[in-house]
Amino acid sequence: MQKNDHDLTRRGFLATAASGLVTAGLAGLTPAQALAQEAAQTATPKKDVTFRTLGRTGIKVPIVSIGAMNADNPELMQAAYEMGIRHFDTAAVYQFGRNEQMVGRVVKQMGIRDKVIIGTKIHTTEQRRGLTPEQHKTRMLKTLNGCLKRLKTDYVDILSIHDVGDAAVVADEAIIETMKEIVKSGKARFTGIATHSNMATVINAVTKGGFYDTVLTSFNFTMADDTDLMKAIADAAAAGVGILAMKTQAGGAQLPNPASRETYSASVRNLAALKWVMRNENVHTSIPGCASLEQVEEDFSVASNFEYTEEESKFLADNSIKLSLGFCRQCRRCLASCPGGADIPTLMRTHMYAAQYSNFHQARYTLDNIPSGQNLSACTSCSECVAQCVRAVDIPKKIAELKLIYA
Amino acid sequence: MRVQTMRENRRWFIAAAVGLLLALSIPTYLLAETPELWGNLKPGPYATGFTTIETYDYSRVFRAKHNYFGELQEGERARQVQVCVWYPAEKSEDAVTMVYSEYNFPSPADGAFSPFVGQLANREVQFLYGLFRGAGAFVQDLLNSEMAAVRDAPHTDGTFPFILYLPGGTHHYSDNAILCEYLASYGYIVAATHHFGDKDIQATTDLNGLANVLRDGEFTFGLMHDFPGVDRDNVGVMGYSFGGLASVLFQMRNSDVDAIVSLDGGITNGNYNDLIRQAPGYNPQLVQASMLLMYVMDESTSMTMVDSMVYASRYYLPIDGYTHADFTQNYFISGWIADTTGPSFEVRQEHYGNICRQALSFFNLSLKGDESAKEALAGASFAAALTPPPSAAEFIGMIRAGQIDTAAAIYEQLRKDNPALTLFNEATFNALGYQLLGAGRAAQSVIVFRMNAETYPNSANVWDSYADGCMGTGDTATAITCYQNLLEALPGDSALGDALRETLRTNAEQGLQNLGAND
Repeated sequence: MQKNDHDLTRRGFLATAASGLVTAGLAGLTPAQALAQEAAQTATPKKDVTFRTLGRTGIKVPIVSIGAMNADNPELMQAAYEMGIRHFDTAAVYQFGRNEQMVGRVVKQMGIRDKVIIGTKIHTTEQRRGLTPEQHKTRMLKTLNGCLKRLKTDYVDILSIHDVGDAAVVADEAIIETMKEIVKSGKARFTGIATHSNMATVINAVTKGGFYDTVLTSFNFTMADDTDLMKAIADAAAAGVGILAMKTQAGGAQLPNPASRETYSASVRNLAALKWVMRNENVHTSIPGCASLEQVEEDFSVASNFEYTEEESKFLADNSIKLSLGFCRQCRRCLASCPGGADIPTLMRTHMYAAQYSNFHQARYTLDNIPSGQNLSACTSCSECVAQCVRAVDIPKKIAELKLIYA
Repeated sequence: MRVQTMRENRRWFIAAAVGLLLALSIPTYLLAETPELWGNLKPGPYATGFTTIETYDYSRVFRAKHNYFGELQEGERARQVQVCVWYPAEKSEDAVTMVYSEYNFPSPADGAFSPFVGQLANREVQFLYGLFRGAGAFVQDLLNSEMAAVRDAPHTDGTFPFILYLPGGTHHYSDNAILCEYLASYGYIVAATHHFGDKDIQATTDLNGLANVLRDGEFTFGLMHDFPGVDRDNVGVMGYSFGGLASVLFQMRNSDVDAIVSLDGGITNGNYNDLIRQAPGYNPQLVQASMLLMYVMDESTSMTMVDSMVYASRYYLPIDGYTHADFTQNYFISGWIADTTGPSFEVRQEHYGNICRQALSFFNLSLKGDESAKEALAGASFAAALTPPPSAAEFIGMIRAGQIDTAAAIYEQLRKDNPALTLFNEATFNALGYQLLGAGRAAQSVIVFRMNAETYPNSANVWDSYADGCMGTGDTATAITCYQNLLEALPGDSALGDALRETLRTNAEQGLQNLGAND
């Protein structure tokens, strides 16, 4: 049984807060400010909610946060806060900036800026093409300024580099220098890396590099056998890296087989998946995407109780489910099987945004940022798709569906 | 040595003091940093505020009452309206200016409007993707670009002329956000609203689309009536492309508008002439504001419509070397992408800056009475307005009050200046003639019937009425002419029903026979 730390004692709180103060002090906050902020963050309406500390940032948040990407209703964010959620995750590209605006407006209107943790993300990879380091830095700063204005704040708590699949990006000195400058300017308290592909390698690079404070990684029960990823997360957490999990419900845990859907209700699938993630103590919080109040309520219930029910255990033990889900882990092993050189993992992620999240903006953005020659145009030369996945993701079917939407 | 040092110190002190005084004497707005997208545009003395108003136009239904299955559709079905307003604001060092994405999605205060405004924002992003040829990074750069306005900034004291902005036909309200910011910084309150269809967000540029634009514009105009600082006696309307066309029609329907700016509007494009003529309430003589017409010269350019608006003073400003797209900010911003076939980003940006400056000069002249602004419009050819006619109600009022001679003299002069003038409605004037005839004022009725017949010579009925008037005064010679004209007009008068046509024919033939005209 997992030990949870929801019975946080005053001594424990002060000790954790004090450890946070050291880091907070580095981020430019006075100890008094930092303590006030910690106290405010810790104050939550529910007593039985489990909190964990995001590694060396010292930030303590409930183990269930919210990924705002698919939400466009400010009332949902307001309700999330009132429920006890304290960390809002967004990104510059979500809904082309609207998502940040929505989060910013809610936070400002509720007057809760000092009570919540705001994490946002900026892209660097596609913007680096053809730019000098100086131009790239200018672009990063411009994007961050845009984020801050939309969020109606002068700082974010965690600024992450978005969509990193390459360890070289983690080690990129020019990016690190820019991030240091940003932290020094007070526009971000902490820095992070967000990854949904090649995760183990990227996380190991974060641990080894020692610069980035957090990792936001794709992580769910379909990856239970990925020992490299498990170890990378454990090592990073041990090294003081804050670990945040996304894609926790395997892209919505939609079961293609009607019989399976009858066997396991949506609620069972959803809760089982999220509990599986949060029972791993190396994961400090999760950011399940929510588009309805019911979803937020259900997800946040895991912060108070992550014991499996019998049905949930059965669901997780059912190996056929993992295969039928068709969740792409972004392991990139399929790349060699495609004669056209298509970026299949990113196309699979595009499919997930469109077909499972119904987030066509994010799908469009993701698709548009695949280098030409590796996007859907690479799929036109084959009469029949021959790409294969070692975990039985039906690549040809998903590619065909994407073509229907974006051809 | 020591003395020299003191002198140097004194010189330094004086230089510093002078420098400080000079710095203090420079208006602070000149020291303010302008957004990169503004190029060489210089901001005015005010900070620019931006806000939105969300409400419903309950006179129109956007969502059908019942769905296909006959089920009642719950929730609000009225047309959602979001009005976006730029206004002169208090300057503040702490104010955070907006980024472009906040224009793309002007967050509604009422969350219920978010999905609707979000759909319009998506439509615009799709447009931007096209503009940037699918280069997502450029779209993101634009969305992150600094703008000049501050969301919900405190209003500054005073009253300011009001300008309604009508964007391009299928465009986002923000296609000229820079121009709107620029005008607000010089002391104007500018409001714009979204263009979208009757039942979905897709806008059209047909007659129905025109009706939507006009009705949304009029609804916005009504909403702005009580907006803080609006000077209701100094009102302008400005539009780009389809919105430029609609701007003129808007003024046609609303005499409160004093000034019109057409940014290469459809009013100067011959392809839209038929559409304009079909517009409800179309009547060129009702355009009586001052107009600035900026346009490119190409094969579709036509001044036919504008030239008929003789009661408006018109500044004609053809601009060589510009394209239609130069009249919005989008074109120069798209210059971020290297385009070997077009001018550079800087040239395009300068084009846009010139357009902004011309619009400002014109509004300063028309709405603020700044005669010095005429200099900036020196490149335009000018057509002075003819003396505008009285309204139909005023004209008929004169006649009812017994001032028939005055009315007739005005009529003669106006018809001489503008033979195409229509001062009154045929049926109304016809009824007036009979009222006078019935009241024993036959001589006056003849004058009324004559004016009606001169104005509507193709109507058989006006000649019949004129003949009745002449019979009342005993002027049989003129009555004969009237009956002859009636018979001549009869075949071409498509407005007549069969029965009335027959009655008029019988009347004329009988009248001519009675008067011995057939002998």
